[in-house]
Amino acid sequence: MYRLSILSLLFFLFYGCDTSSSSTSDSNLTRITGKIFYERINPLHNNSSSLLNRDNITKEPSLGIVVEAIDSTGATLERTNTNDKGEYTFSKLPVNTSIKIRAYAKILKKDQWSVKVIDNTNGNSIYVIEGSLVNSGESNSVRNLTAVVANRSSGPFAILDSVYKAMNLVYKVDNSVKLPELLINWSVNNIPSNGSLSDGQIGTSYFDGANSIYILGDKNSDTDEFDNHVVIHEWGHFLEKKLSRADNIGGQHGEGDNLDIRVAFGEGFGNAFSAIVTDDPIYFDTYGKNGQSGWNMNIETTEHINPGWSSEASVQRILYDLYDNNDDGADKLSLGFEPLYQVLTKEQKNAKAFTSIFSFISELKSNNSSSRDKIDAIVESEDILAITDIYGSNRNNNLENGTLPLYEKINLGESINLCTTNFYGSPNKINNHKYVRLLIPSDDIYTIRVAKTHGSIADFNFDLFNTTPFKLEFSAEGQGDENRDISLIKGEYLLDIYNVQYSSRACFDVSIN
Amino acid sequence: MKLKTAIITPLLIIMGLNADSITGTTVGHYSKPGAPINISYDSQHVQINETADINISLSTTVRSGTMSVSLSLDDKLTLESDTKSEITFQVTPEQKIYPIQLKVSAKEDGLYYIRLLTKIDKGQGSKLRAFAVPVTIGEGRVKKVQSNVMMKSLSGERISVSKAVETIQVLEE
Repeated sequence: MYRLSILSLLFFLFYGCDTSSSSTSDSNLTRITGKIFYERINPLHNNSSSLLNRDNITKEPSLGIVVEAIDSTGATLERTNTNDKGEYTFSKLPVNTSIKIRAYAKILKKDQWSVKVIDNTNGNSIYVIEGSLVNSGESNSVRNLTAVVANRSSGPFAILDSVYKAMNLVYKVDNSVKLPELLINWSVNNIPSNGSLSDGQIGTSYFDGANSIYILGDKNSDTDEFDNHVVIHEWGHFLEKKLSRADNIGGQHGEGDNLDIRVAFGEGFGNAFSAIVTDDPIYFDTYGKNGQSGWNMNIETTEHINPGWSSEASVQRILYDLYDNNDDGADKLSLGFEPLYQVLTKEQKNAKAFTSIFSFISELKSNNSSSRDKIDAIVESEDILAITDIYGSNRNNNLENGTLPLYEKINLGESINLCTTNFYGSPNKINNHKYVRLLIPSDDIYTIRVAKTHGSIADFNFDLFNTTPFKLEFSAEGQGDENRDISLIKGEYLLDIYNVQYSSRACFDVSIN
Repeated sequence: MKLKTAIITPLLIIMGLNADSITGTTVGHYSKPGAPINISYDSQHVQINETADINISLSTTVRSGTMSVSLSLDDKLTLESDTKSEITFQVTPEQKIYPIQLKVSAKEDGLYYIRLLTKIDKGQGSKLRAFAVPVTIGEGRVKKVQSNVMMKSLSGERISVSKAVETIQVLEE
């Protein structure tokens, strides 16, 4: 009897009373569950103007972010990610312990992607929100955290949510996608002035071509954390660079510009992609003090100003029409995102011509031959003749003399004379760069010569690309005429020749021997 | 080209006379969609209570329409010229540069900004672009807005901490 009493006492000491209730701790452990939210200021559109509407702030779930339960020493007790509703669960936390919940502006999927929002003006620290250190008690509990507009803690989470939606779209069509780590730099000090990044002088919101995106945050000039199309446009450049190929040379661009075909495609893709991800064709960008000014454009219906293959607006309309399921005008096609993604990540990536609407559409037509006529119809509605190859052959545009053909060809021992101009502006407009195709018959050392024939202040440089695989082979950036001996293997090459002064009409002879 | 030279040359002279100045440009930089406007500037570095000359040149590839500019200064900058805060230019193919000149001063050391909100209106909707011209007074110490506490997590990662709005519900038996 005595032994039984001792055993009973020991049993209760170790195991307590198990009531099997969902609200009562199991042993010395307790559960904390909850949801992470962020506040988003939504836009108000009025014709082609937009602003951030502080009367329309919504509470949105933060999806896929890293959440930790932290004790009073700062140690991590448990770590998890929120699910697709913004919910998290910690099921093995110690009872009667001071615990706080910390949510990171970070999404992480092992072996697939990692994105962090960091403060480039504060030691590149990653943004987090925290609850209070509260005793976990012995009962299960629910702790919800919200990053709010009032202290601007919601900005990083709003940015991350836009990126999460973009990545999720890609994941739906390619669940084995692997992306390198991306750092998104945002700060309330990020201002549209060029200079020191650690002082916030980022110039504008942009992707740096490597592994960083910078987003404006100065509330007295321009903030982009709630301009989700802007954020996704920049992420679209990251996608293009990392999974596809982006020959876009960057620079200033806008609707109505006659852009270099590489820029037109890259920027048009970014715009279209932002509309595809959000399923909202109204691209908007707010400006001014507290976002009380801004503009917008309807990706699908905006007036056709200067349409054509050099127009980013034409590219965005074409891509969006190919995707959407809204038949309008010449658009009788609803391909969805997957066929576009397939071309981007396969054929476009390996195209032997510069990435442009020509390389994209000619491969899309090859992959979707039953839709060729409908693709042609969409393209032709933008004043672009049916695309038949990756070089934009057979064009018939009313552009400045000397614009066509887009790609010249040169054979060994030949010399041709070409001219660049800044008629449409510079440095990334039509005719700022001239493209020349070369066929190298055998492995040897070749002399490429670019010699000015007209234009007193002109100075020509060139980039030489091997097309298989596509890579920059050589850059000639000296002053004066370029006369370079280059060791080349047999194959097809592209020359990109440009006048660094971007002056009005300047001409050159180009030869290869 | 001659008009551009006539406007740029004085700027270059000013830059030469005042070796202490900040110059900057957006020409050639990668940028998000917006008004097709570039800015170049020369911002004179002066001491406390001295007047700084700020010369701004805007350019655009647009050939017609209007370009409007809203200027605002950091609170601690004082405008010392009669430059208007709202300026409108008629855009023409011949005019390549749209100049804005102003003078400012400050009573405290620091790095300040003149903010420009520019708009191009071609009659079919408008687009905007924002710029900020830095003005260095004295040592030009940068005064960053720090709304968060920066610390290191136990794992050594730098974190920028904000308080969340939190609700806690204990689940009753």
